[in-house]
Amino acid sequence: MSEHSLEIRVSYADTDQMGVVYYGNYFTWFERGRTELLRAAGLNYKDMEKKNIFLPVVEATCSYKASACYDDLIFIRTKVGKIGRSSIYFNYEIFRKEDRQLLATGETRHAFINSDKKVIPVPEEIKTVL
Amino acid sequence: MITEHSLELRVSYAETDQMGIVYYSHYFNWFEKARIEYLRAVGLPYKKMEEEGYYLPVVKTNCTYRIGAQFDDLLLVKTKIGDIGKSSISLIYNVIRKEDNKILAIGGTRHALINREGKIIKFPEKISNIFHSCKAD
Repeated sequence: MSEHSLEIRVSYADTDQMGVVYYGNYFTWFERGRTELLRAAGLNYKDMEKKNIFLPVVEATCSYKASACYDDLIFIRTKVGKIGRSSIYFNYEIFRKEDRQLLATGETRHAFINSDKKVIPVPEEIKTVL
Repeated sequence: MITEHSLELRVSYAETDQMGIVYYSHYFNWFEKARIEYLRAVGLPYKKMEEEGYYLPVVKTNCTYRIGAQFDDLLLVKTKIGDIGKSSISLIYNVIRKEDNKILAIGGTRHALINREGKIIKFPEKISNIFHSCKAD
């Protein structure tokens, strides 16, 4: 499971007075995108945390190409990027569904840590399914 | 002029998540607060800029997280001007925990200057002069 697509409708809460989605809100979409990718790969993030595996974001970027607007139907295409010894990258593309216009691209880097906040190697079973 | 602006913030409960730290997207709200106060401090209140037909949407942003900010932490967001183009400007942010002066996160935003019609425009001299005078050497 290296790629996943999630459809979302832009809500009023996502918008700001410029009439577009507030820039910080794209990061909450990225979270939904990667969480659903993990679920589709059989890795429920909630269960991962129960197993003492946490994936905090250590770096995040987003480039905005065109604006998402209220009521737009969009989809988030999430891909697994580089998997390091104890880190993983996810890449995101956000499209407006109607005309397939690319609205934004982004990336997040995550560390693998345990509940003591110690960095841990990426577990083999996670590497295998991703 | 002000080459670095400092904004004090207290982390609210609403900003935290179940990992016990601030959710990663909230740092971008802090960056907004910091740059708005910076602009105000240099005589460019953003509300007034919009009224005059100047808009600064974010076209690119990034943040590197070093240490998680926690509920009730008192923070300083230190903002500096990065690159200044003909119709774009970059800002750089350091989020610092006031108690021990530790850098929690470093971020950046790049903004285009657009008009009411959404067209990219050049900075008027008045604005450009202010930005250049605030940029550290």
